[in-house]
Amino acid sequence: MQIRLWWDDTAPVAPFSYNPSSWSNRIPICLLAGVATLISIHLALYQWRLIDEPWDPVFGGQSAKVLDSEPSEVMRSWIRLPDAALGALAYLGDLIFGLAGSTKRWFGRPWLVILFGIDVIPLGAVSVVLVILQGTVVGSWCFLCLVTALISLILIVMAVDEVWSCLKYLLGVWRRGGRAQCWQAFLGKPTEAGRAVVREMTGAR
Amino acid sequence: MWARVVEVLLACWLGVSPFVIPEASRTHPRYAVDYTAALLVAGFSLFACVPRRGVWRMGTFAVGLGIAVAGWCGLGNEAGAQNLLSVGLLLAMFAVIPTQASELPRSWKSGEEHRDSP
Repeated sequence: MQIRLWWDDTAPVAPFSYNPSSWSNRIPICLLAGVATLISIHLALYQWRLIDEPWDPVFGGQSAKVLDSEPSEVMRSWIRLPDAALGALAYLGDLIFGLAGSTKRWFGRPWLVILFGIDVIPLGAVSVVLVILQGTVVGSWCFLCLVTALISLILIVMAVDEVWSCLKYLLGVWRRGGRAQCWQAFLGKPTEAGRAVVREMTGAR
Repeated sequence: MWARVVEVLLACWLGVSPFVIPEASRTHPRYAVDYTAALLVAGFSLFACVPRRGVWRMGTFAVGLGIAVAGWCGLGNEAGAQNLLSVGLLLAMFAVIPTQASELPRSWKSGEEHRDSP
């Protein structure tokens, strides 16, 4: 009888019934992030005046008002880039950090999962703030901006399971082995406590 | 490994960007920054491909942050500065990715247990 190896790709990771670092879980995130990147690049092209107007089948010319609005100009003066270009970089970051790492990265490279979470979750929050600003301050709506904000929220929902598993692993290592082993685990180094927590979370022997 | 390939491609872009986004003067300091950064990034990325020399990618990270700061400070015309800023941030993101990121870290593999019950 073959005993399942404890780093088996297919092993479900507690508290989920699947491996949140599996490709089937991460590829849809990367595809969505890719779509959001392309949309943001389109909006940035307008802000760079490389195209005449942004595509908007719903609100028409309101998109241009949003992209040329005062909050957008203020952000541009701070970051020295159009806000849509910064958004494109951030979504590209989601894609890059989503693609990087193996299907065991929730314990093999926790720092990468945390970095991925930091890129995805605050980005979603910023998108929501920008959508609120559209309605309240600018008084106009931008269809593609709303689409990217929706994608950001979906990305948060899709990415949170992997980040949760990773945090649960790190917390488990902290409880069993203390701060020093937790730091080692965060850096992706194996520890006795880490191995025990992985076995416990995957239910493997 | 794919992250290193993208870094080398970005280095190539930095090398040609003075021709794509020219300055008014051929002796503008932005050109020196573009060429130097291109050479450094290509060098660091290639060295980082050597087994057990992955830490060289941190050189790319530093160069990326450096040119991003130069762009943010407005080195060159607007397009040139924005190019430095965005390429610098991209380089910093790619440089974080380990060369063998698609595999489990070596230290975990060394403790691998291949067990078959009798």
